[in-house]
Amino acid sequence: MTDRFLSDLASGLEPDAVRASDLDRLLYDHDASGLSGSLRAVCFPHDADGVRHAVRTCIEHDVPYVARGAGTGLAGGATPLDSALVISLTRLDRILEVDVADRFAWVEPGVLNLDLSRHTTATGSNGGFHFAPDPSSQQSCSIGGNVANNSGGPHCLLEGVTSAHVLACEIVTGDGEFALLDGDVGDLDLRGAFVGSEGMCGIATRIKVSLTPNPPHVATMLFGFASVDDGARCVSAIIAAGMVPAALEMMDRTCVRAVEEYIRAELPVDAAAVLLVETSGLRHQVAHDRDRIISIALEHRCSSTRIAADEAERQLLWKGRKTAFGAIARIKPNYYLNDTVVPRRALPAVLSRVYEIVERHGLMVMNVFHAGDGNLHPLIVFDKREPGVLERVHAAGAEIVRASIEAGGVLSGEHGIGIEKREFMPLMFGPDDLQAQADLRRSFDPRGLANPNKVLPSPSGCGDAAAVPDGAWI
Amino acid sequence: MRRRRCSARRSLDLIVDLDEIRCIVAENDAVHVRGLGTRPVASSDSPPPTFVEAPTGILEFQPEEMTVRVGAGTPLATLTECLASSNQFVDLPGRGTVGGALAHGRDGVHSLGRGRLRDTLLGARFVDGRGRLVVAGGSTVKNVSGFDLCRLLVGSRGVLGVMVDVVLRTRPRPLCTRWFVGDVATADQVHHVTTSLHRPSALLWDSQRMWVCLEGHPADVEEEWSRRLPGFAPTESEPDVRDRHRVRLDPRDALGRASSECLVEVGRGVVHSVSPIEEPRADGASRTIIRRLKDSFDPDHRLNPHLVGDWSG
Repeated sequence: MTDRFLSDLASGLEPDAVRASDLDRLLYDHDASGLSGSLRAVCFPHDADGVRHAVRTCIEHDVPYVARGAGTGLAGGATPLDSALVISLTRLDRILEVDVADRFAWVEPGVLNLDLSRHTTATGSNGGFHFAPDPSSQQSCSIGGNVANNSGGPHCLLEGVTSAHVLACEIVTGDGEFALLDGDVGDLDLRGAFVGSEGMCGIATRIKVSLTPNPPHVATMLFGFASVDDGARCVSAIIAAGMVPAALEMMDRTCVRAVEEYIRAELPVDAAAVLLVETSGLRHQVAHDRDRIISIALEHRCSSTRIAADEAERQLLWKGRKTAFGAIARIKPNYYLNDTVVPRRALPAVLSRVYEIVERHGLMVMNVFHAGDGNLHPLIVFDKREPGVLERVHAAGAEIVRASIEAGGVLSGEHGIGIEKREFMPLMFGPDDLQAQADLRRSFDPRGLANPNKVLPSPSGCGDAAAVPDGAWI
Repeated sequence: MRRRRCSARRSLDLIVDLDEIRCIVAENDAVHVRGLGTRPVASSDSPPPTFVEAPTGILEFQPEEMTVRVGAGTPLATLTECLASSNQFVDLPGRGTVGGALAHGRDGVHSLGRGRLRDTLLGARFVDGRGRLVVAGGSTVKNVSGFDLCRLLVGSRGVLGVMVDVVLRTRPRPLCTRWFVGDVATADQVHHVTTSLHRPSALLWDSQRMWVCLEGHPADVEEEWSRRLPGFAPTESEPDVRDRHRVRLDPRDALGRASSECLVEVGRGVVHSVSPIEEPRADGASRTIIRRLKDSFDPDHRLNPHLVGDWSG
């Protein structure tokens, strides 16, 4: 049966578009979460018809399939389970159309996030345009993956997450048909339901995204605080003052020191916490917000103030924020990155609990996160060769999730649920809520072959068999 | 069929209201969801309907969170007044209720700059056609926990469920909002205006005149107007699009429709027309999904059965 499946699959794709060697299966059995599963094969369609052919072949042979972008997901969303077929979208990497007048672009799902912004920055007058969602992985993550995860990023505080920037999607449905999900056509916003569905409602083959004008003026500020508490309260005060900065990011002392070692940017390494704040737009608004933000930071006892003097310094400060995850390799070889959201007013209390939880488990944590959104990213660093450490990391991660929910927060702000957090879903949702979500999924994919066993805990997964890979967590 | 009519409540008692809503939905064959009745929904030859109304009242407003939780039956005027006390707002158009504006799902003319109405809804509790009370979304601006049922509620005209209470994202009021109007006779000139401005809040064109709304710091608005809008003059009144037929087309097709009877939202493709214009329809595969959704959430088609849509036939 396997051979017949593979030969049927290959018959509708370009030569060499199907691979099933041991090496290929090793390469594609996990995403960046490190959660690994098992796959039957991986295929590389060149176009939308190829994707539809792959889906239809899976339907015919009753084989589950998993769409894969760049594999940068952190929750196991692209990890294949149950010997699924991995449908890699890396060859669908064309920017199909850019319309500057109406500020949109049509792209294929394999286009890399930053590649689109680089392309559109050079387009049009007034400094060009960009694709607003900017996850830290934007140099390597794909726009199709952003759509599947409803990705965020530092600048989503002002601009909103991916869903706010996707105008329409052409998808291959669970029935193996093309559907054009236009948020303004039809009686229900299927586009909105599809974005963030983690590959369980079909596969995007063309995406219409909105383009955001590059701001003519930007002010980037870095404040040091003697306590994490002061920094967190400053965040709330800035928002309460009626401003929504373009970005509002926080790093704690451990993180700042690791980053400073890495990039040598003269960061305030003695501060307990550092806030990176950016405001952008037209000249007078930027100056107005910058002055008020500095004033609020001083009211919250900031110990240092630095304002980027030029674009080079701004890029240096952002490099510190965006390379934080790379910098931790100087401390420990492994890390586990959590992702929860809490109300901004709960940030000081939840951060205290994070430190307490991690210390109690004998671990080390660095906090680098989207403070303006209340989007925590505790980064537990460890050496997996240490006996029993994985269990402690696992336990600490679970406690952090529970602490966030108890504070009125949610399970994930931008990484998604995938395999990693599906068993936590009942912390937020009751049986009827989960069944309603399963109903949504089944409407797009009645067979349940599109990326099964993700997001929804059993038994809400409409018949998906629970299948956590053995030993899976980190 | 039992007929009951819930009265609007001045003080919120969600437990009573919830039981009442679930009871009405579960015990009647046909239920109409009603707000303040600003958008008539029942035709004259329909059988006398059973109405259900959502609870009213502001449940929680935290200005520093920029979110508000509110009963879906709350009049927009009440919400506007509450948020204004903290210099914030939610851009929900119309004169009815919060739930009505969300269920209708139509953006105001400022969506180009202020964002889409559909992105305003962060969380909701709703009673579906099975009588299930469903929690969707959450109370934070950022949230990717599970499938996004909230997006389905916006614009659904109540055919999937009755919204009970909702969490909305608020925004700070801009320091300044000003409208300008000028003579613009060609699509090329429209494009010139569009591309020269940084982020206008609204752009409308009727083939002869163009209205531009700029928001932000007063000095920036003044500068944009004087440098980028030659020949435009300030105006106190924004174009009135009430009582017009509203259709959303491809932005390029929409421009071609501009006329004295058709006001076009530039960049958004929304046409406000004196006469009806045929709406584009969803494709067959999308209609299949919509039918399944309707059958899942309201299998007996009890909710707003007088409405015809992609789920019908």
